[in-house]
Amino acid sequence: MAAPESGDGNNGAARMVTLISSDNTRFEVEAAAASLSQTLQLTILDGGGGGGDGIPLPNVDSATLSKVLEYCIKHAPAAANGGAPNATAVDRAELERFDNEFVNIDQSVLYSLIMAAHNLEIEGLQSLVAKKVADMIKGKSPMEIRRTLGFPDPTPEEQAEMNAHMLEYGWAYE
Amino acid sequence: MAQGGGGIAAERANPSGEDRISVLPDDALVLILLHLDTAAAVRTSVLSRRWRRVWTLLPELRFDFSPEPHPVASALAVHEAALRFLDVGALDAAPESVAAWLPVAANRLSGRLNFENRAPPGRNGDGEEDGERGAFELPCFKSATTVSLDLGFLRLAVPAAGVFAQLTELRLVRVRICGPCKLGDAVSSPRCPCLQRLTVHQTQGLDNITIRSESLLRVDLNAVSGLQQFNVVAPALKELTVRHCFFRSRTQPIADISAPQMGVARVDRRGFSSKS
Repeated sequence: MAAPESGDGNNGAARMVTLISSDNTRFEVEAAAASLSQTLQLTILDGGGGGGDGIPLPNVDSATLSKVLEYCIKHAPAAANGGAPNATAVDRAELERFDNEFVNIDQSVLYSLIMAAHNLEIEGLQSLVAKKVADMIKGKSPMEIRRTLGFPDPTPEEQAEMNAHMLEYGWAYE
Repeated sequence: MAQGGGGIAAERANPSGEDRISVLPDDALVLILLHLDTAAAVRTSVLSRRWRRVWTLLPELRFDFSPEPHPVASALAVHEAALRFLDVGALDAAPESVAAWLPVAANRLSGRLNFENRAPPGRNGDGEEDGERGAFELPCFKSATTVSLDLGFLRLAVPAAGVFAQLTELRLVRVRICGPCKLGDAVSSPRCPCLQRLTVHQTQGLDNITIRSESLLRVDLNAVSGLQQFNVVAPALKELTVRHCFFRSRTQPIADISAPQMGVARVDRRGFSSKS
């Protein structure tokens, strides 16, 4: 059957756009992939990002943008199919495997991705990274969550505040 | 502080400064909490001042089956945002406590409400002791679109006034309707202009249902015991199911149905006298 990498096969070369990270690295990527970002979609629809221009992204560094684009390129074909009603179980399983692998990353990278996904409004990525953090929180006590998420140790004053708060919100701890 | 949490200690951020997650905007933190059950989301409010109010911005609240006092009452007292979804499970809830939070939810809700009260076995609505339990009034859901109440045979009074302006789907299960029966009036077009789907199952106290609705597409009555009279004028109605409703009727029940668009009618005709 048709090979999955037929995106630029039949209709000539796919339209490309250039994105420029905060540290001035240029990324050339298919417009369809970049358009997973609601923020970029409007600019791209207006014809922006082509040729030598490029779209500057002053809030996203090159390491984060490279990671974001990895996600967009992988998810663009399914998104183009409108959520892929005709996607096979194999395709979906492959995307799921990719997603799981994708968020298996350092926390600092994860937080940069959350911020970038938020600024660029990439819905699927926002949900994916949010779920990853939620999974890190699940089943943990507040102190365990604080340590897991890298909070500084509470000052005695903060600790007292936490204790009072837990009393007040007893109903959430039953 | 305990030693030896190797991986955890290694991940610990700058001990002096702000942790990196807390600088994320509210919206991003709310997205994280949406993946937790509501009690776990509420518990994150203890993490720091930054997190105190994040959960109150959640557009969806879900509560597992819980005995009294139910956390939904405490939660709604603090929660601030508009609600698009509220899911509440209760174990043998008292009518007074439901009466305390349901009107608050009705004011806040712009989407779906799902409330299920599990009564202990034996409290099936027939027992004598049930008669002594109080009732509560169905609040007016001005902006909710879907309301599903499985009350475990709590007693419910249907108000004589109030418009359910956005309601498209109403589901009442295991309800004992008390007082003069206003249900037909409440779900008719003047007070429920958008209602498309009405489901009433295992319900008592409804002897007369008279509905005039421009919008209703589907009506499903199952085990509405004691039903004497059922009148529907619904020009758009496509599907009508009436089953096991006339078992206990002492007199000949009467149904009068005017629904020119109707494609599917499943009517249990036992003891049924149709005038139409």
